[in-house]
Amino acid sequence: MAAHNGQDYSTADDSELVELARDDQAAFGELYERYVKKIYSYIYFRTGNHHDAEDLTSRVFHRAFLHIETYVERGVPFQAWLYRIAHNLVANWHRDRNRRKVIPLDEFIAAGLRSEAPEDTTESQEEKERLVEAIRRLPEERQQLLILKFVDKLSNQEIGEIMERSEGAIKSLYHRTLLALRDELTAEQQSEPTRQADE
Amino acid sequence: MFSPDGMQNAQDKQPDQQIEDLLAAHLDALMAGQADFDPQFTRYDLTPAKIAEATDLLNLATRLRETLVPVAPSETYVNRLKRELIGDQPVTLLVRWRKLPAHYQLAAKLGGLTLTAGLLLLASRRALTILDALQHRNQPESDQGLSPAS
Repeated sequence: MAAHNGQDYSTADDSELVELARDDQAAFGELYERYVKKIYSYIYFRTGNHHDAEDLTSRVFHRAFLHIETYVERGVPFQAWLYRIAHNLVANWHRDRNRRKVIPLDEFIAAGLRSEAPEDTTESQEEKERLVEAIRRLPEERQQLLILKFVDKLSNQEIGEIMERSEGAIKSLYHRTLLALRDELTAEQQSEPTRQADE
Repeated sequence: MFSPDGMQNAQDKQPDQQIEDLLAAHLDALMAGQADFDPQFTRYDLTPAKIAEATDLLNLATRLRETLVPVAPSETYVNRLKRELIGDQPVTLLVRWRKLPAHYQLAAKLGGLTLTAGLLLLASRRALTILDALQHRNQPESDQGLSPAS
C-alpha cells in the first residue's frame, strides 16, 4: 500500500509499521490489510456467524487503532497483540450472551462442505461433520489451538505468543489435543452401534 | 548422547517428545502442501504401540487440514472497514467516538454526567420556585401578610 507521501509500506515489517502508524494512517492501513482476514477467520470460528464476526473484527481494529500510540512491542508482537484483543472481545461476547464457549462450527462447515467439489462422497462429508462435532466437544483452549494452527496457519512460536505459552508447551498441547480428539471420535463410534440397537 | 553437530538425537528424547516432534514436522509438511510426508519411524525409539498412536494422530491431522479451511470476509466489508479506519468516508459521530482514546471517552462521560446532574438540579430548583409562586398566588391576600390600607 502506498502512503499519501507515495512511500510503499508493503516491504516494511510490523515493528516499523507500528512506529510509522503513530503519525501516518496509511501505515496502519498496511497493518490492517495484513491481518484483517486472519482475524476475521479466527473470530468467525469462535462465534460461528458472519454478522458477529464482522462486528467483532471491526472492534478489534478500532481498538488497535485507538491504542496504537501507546502500544509497545516488549515481547508481544503486533500480531499477537491483535489476536489477544480478538480473544478478549470474543470472550466478552460469549459472557454477554451467556453461551457455552464452544466453537459453533456447523454453520461454517456446512457452507464449506457445500462449496467443495461435487465429486466428494456423502461418506466423506459425514466424516467431516463427525470431526467437527468432536472438535466442538473439546475445551475452549484446545479448540483455539486448532483454529490458530489449521485455519490461520500460525507457527508454534506465534501461537505461543498469543496464548502466552512457550513453544514447547504449544507442541505438547497440540499432541494432547489430537489425543483428546481421537478419543472423542472413538467414543462416538463406539456409541453408534448402541444407538442403532436402541432404535 | 549427542550427534557430531551437537544436536540431541531424536532417539534420546522421551517417546512423547519424539511424537511431538514428529507431529510438528508433519504439520509443517502439511502446511507446505507436501503430500508425501515420510514419518521415518526408524529415526525414533518408539514402541509398536507408540508408532500406532503416532500413525493415528498423523492421519487425524491430515483430516483436520482438509476440514478446517479459512473463511474470508467479503471484499465490501474489508474495504468499508478500511475506509472507516483511515479513509475518506464521512466520519459519523459514532466513528469519531470510537476513535477517541479511552481516557478521553471517560472524561466525556464524566463531564456529561456532571452537566446532566447540574441541569437537573437547576430544573428542580426552578420548578420548586414556580410551585412556590403558584401557591402564594392562590392564597387569600390576608394570608399573604399584606398590611391593611391606612
